[in-house]
Amino acid sequence: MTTLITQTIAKVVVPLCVFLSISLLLTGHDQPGGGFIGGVMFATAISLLYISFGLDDSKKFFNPDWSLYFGFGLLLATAAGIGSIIAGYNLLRTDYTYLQLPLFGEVELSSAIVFDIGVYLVVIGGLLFIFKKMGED
Amino acid sequence: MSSILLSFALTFMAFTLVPCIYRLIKGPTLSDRVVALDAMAMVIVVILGVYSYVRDSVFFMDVALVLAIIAFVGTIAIAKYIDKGVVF
Repeated sequence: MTTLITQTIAKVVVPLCVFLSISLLLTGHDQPGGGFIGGVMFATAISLLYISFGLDDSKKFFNPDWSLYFGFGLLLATAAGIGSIIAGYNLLRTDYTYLQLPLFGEVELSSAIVFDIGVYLVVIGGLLFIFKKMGED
Repeated sequence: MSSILLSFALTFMAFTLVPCIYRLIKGPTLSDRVVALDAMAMVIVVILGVYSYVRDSVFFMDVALVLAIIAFVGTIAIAKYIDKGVVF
């Protein structure tokens, strides 16, 4: 537990960091960003939560098993690579299409986003698993 | 005119990093080094903002935002380590 100022700032900053990480993840395939830096931003936000509220108090209302995220992300990234072989192309071949969404207009939908989501889950799972294990000692 | 002002601002901010590096190397205590590193990160964030205007590209703003957040969380973590002896 730290002071009230840090906890109040953390309540404002943590949702903004999570939104920035999702924004970096979704724009990652043709603009700056991507799965790795999005995962680092998410791990930064959750570690700010752990630092300002303490690990023991954070675990009372928010206690996921981060190693499951690591494994699921690695499975998803591998499936994104193998899936293109099954479809008859080279390893990690990507394709894209354009969707017409209401309220957003034309949106580019790329299949590289599956690999990026896998990298995102691997990074948040690995970093937060290490932080939590080191904090529990 | 604007380019002269921006060049002067970038040069001045680059020289502002020198006392920060001096305090980072020389600093007697750990707190001095933490404050110097935080000031250095903030100066680099402002340099990236000005450079984004010079190069007319919005992509440097992403770098500035990410660097600002990571420097903030790092400073808070080291502050809690100095105060309590544990980070989490």
